Amino acid sequence: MLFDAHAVTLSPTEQFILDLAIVTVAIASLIFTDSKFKSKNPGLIFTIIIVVAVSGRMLLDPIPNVQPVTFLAIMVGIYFGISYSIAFATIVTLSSNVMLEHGIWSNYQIIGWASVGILAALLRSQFIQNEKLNITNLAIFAAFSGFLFNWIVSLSILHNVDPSFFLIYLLNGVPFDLLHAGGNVAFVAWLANPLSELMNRHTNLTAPKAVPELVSN
Amino acid sequence: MSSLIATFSVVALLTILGYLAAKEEYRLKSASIVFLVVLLLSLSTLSTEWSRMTSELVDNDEDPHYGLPDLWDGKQVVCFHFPDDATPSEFADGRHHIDYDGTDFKTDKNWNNTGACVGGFEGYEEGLDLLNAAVEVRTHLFGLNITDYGDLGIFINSIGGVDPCIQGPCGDNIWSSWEIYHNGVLSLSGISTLTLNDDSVLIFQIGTTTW
Repeated sequence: MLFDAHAVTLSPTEQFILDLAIVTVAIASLIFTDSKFKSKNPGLIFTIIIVVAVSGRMLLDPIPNVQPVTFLAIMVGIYFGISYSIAFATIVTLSSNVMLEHGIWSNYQIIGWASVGILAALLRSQFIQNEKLNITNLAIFAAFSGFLFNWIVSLSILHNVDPSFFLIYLLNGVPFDLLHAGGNVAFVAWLANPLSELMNRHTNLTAPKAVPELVSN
Repeated sequence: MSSLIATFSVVALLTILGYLAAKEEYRLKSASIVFLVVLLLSLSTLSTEWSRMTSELVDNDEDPHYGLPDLWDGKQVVCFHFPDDATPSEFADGRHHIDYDGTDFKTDKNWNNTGACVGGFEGYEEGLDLLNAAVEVRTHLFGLNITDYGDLGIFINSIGGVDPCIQGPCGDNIWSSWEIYHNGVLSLSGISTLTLNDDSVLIFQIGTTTW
């Protein structure tokens, strides 16, 4: 006997709760099962983070401006550095926009998330102190990044409207900037520490050690 | 404005409570979730109130929405311009802008008429329906007195108790009445036969006709 699962329709709220549960399970699985892997290959965890970012962005799409990409861009910036941040921003934006919507704004999203990652990489010493993550500094930066990213993406409207309208446009978006900032802080509060441990396991970046002596030829 | 302050205050207060109610190591987690949930729940109110506060008046005089808040771009608006000596005291300081839900959010004190515009309406196809919707927002100030002439349509005797024949001349070859401007042009149709656009602006003001 066959059942047509496609015939089952969920209300937007039911669908959202289901999506949220999927994202939670995915992130929790990643954090709790990752300890089994001993790989020091950053490519593995980088790829997994990209998958989490893309799926998280798509699944949390019903909530305006709350998604994990900005937070993950910050973490990638801190633990992987500038070049990975640019790659992360590009891959995540293009991959998720295939499903969400692709347009000129995609370029600004790439620039926005890459800028956040690059800034995080440059400010790394403010976030990792004594080999521990400074959650307060990270939360403040994450909140700021919500505004920064939205403002950079807002530049895309200058293709259509007069620059004099730009400030009004930015002002109108403040409630949504606040949501983005709040979402980022929530991601930092809940996920920064476990993700930091996970990234530590796969990268050599958090505890740079001086070479004791030069290798002779 | 007061709704905006109230909403922000509630968000801030609940976030602080969420912060203080949790154990020290969970405070950021608790506060951030409370902030996010309360902000999401109040987003609609917050966004509307914020848009009203930050709206600007359209300055393109070729636009039918000239002088109206840009918040109403693409939406339908009804303006009542009262004679200076018959303007309700609420509107005596300029042209007020009232949103469809009754919120008086912006006053243009430099406009050369006193009165009010009620806007933000969508989907009305007939003039009379839009007029009635606007009147409903402030029934005591815009109340209509009309005469129905059947197939000939309706005639507006007064708006908000302001009778054109008291304000201006009405005689054998001269008549004062509430005239309708549709998108800046004097309408030749009566309100009951007027077909609207998605962003129609109707202006009611007293004019005098001679023949």
